[in-house]
Amino acid sequence: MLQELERYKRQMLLFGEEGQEKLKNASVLIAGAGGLGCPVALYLAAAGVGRIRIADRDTVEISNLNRQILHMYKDIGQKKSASAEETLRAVNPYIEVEGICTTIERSNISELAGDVDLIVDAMDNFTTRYLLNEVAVKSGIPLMHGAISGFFGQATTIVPGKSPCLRCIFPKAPPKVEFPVLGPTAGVIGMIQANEVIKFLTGTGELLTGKLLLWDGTSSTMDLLEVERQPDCGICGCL
Amino acid sequence: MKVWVRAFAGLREILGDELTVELPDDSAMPVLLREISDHFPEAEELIYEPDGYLSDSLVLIINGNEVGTAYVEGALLADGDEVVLFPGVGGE
Repeated sequence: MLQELERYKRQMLLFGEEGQEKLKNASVLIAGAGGLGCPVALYLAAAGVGRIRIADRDTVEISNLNRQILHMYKDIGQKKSASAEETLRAVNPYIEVEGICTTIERSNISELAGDVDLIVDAMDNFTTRYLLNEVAVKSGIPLMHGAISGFFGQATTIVPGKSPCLRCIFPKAPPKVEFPVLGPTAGVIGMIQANEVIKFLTGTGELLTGKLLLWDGTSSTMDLLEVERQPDCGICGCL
Repeated sequence: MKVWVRAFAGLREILGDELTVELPDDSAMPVLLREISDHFPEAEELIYEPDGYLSDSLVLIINGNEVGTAYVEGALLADGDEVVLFPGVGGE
């Protein structure tokens, strides 16, 4: 136990042993083990989030390795969920990690998300993002959203009943296009999401609720846009 | 009148991060969007659907207030307004 706490000594200067205990007792679903899911999971594992469930249906391909930092060259052909689980266990043996190889869909989302404290949106498509949003809103589970394309990225934190939901901000999905992906962009947005998770769980700082953070890697600038709940939103309008 | 446009993500690559657009007095948001599309044809596909309707995934903010796509038609602009255009990204 002492060695375990020693691991977190420097961050406990921020939120104490009590905050660390909150992280240890927390359970998080990371939806996706790709460009965003990898850095989010890595930093949450390192920070000592007690139970990490990471779900992805894909296998590791060589073209993933410019950004999906949980997967190694030797993992090509392996399930991303298994590869991610192996790396996360190696990073922190004091936490529980569950890699699940599955397509996240309506039939299994309640099982995947039913017992977690929060959900991290690290998906590659808005169809599943909207599903995560719907479940988060209905179950009252916070959702940390992130998405990227090329040098650009966005992030926001959805706390049901207190902030606009994903449908309020994006009533319709951005067009499906083959987008370029840069590792550092995924890293920046993944770090923002991980930071939001840690702040939420420890009750530290100010969350990105009602704010859409926009990252522009071409000029290394971040902007915050205020976003509002839409009273006629079909997902959260009745809350 | 002049409005100040701030673009993000894919639109920033086309329009630059800031743009001043001159419009007839009392113009509404659709006039601004059409003006931008006319001057920057590459922006058109990020602003409009293929059928010509405004893209629902475009986030529009006037002076800090988000405008739902259902209200864009009636969103009047005034001299000095700041308009944010953000097409949203969906990857990873």
